[in-house]
Amino acid sequence: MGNVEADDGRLWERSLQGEGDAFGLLFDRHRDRVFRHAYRLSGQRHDAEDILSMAFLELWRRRLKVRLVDGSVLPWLLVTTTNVARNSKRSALRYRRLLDSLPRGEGIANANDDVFLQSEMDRDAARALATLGTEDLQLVSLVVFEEYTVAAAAAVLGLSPAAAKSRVHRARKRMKTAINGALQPPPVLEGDRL
Amino acid sequence: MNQLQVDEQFSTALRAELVSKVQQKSPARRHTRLWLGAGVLAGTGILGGVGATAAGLFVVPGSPQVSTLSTPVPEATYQGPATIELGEPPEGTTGIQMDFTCLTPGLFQYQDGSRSICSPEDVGTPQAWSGYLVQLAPGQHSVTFRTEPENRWKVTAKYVSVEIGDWETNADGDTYGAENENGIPDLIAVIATNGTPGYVYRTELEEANGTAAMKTFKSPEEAVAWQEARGDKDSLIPVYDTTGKTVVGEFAIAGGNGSVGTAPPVKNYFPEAPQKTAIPVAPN
Repeated sequence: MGNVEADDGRLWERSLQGEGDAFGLLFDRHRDRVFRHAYRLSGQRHDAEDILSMAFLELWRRRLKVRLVDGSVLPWLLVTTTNVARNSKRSALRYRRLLDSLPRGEGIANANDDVFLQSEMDRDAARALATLGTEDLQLVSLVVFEEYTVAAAAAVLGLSPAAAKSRVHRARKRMKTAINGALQPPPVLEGDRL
Repeated sequence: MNQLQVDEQFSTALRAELVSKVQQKSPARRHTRLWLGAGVLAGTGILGGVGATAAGLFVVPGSPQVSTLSTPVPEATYQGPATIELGEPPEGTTGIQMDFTCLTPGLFQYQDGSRSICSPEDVGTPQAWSGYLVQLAPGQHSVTFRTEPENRWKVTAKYVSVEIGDWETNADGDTYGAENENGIPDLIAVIATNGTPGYVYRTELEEANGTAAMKTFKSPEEAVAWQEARGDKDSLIPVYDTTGKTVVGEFAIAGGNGSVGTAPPVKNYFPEAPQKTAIPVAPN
């Protein structure tokens, strides 16, 4: 993964120069992880697709603000995904017309029992995650699910590594309590099985 | 366990939308026969001075004085990617000067990452021409262009030595001449929209092209707001003679998105090469 990630910087630079294809490659590269993260937070496929779209649209709209971490845009995208998911109704206003215009495949939602059960479990997990504060959720997303180092997560969120570390610790505990308290048996979190 | 995937139809449509959004903002979509990487202003007629000076049209103080050191390789036509051997550089060579002309529409890229984009309307017109002056890299004795196999182009190239001249100073004490390695004079050589060579005040240019505003921005949001407020409007500033008092024309600074939508998709044929280093030169 290291080498691939290292190429983000160049693709990003080319995107900023207006090369749509370079931005397309960034989309190809990070689409699935952003989507799974969005799904983890929303527990709904269509919502996750909307959140995915908004995260990439925001990546472009706020391009002058984007910070690359270890040469990758992914941490910024994941944090933005978290924020958009938190705020998806308000964020969606800006992009509503576009989102409504994008075509969707047919017959995928809840097409079979496996998917249905899974989506129920994911919704529960999403609800457990919703008990975290925004900053904690951002940290947990990066460190627990996406396996970034605490230092990298701290860099993208503008926290000191020490503060990030103690926050992650507290958030992990809170999340465990939320999941165990709310569900029997505890769900398999997306991050565990991907 | 089911691997969760994005709906492909949705994803494809979203991707296309994102690509087009990015391209709409593209400086490369501006009508460009000059080399990208030379800066936004290269496309708007700022004089590098080489060609104009050589043609005796307009002597620009501070412009590079180019001396030819080798017989140009005969102009030849190529199709697809090609490398042109120039032989050993003579003593004192500092650069290579090229005249490049596209014969079909397409994207043509030079080995340092700079590129020329030819639209169908450019072919067969002076717009198909690009002048190009590059620094000689250690050990370099050839030039390479890459493009799609079906695209045709022609080029001639020669070894040169380049010396930067001094700016002049007018009665008011303002320096005038071409932008060069030493910096930017008070009055910058340009070609006005009416074709008359002249000078614009650096302060007025910086005001109009956003350089001045950029220095006042405290946050990226302010920069974006400025860009958005400015929109696609062209700005016009006066062009003066060397006195800095007599107006001889106007200089246009293109607004945000440019106007030409016929450029082919941008592609990088030299992923290994750094962007930029090209110096644009004015047509002979």
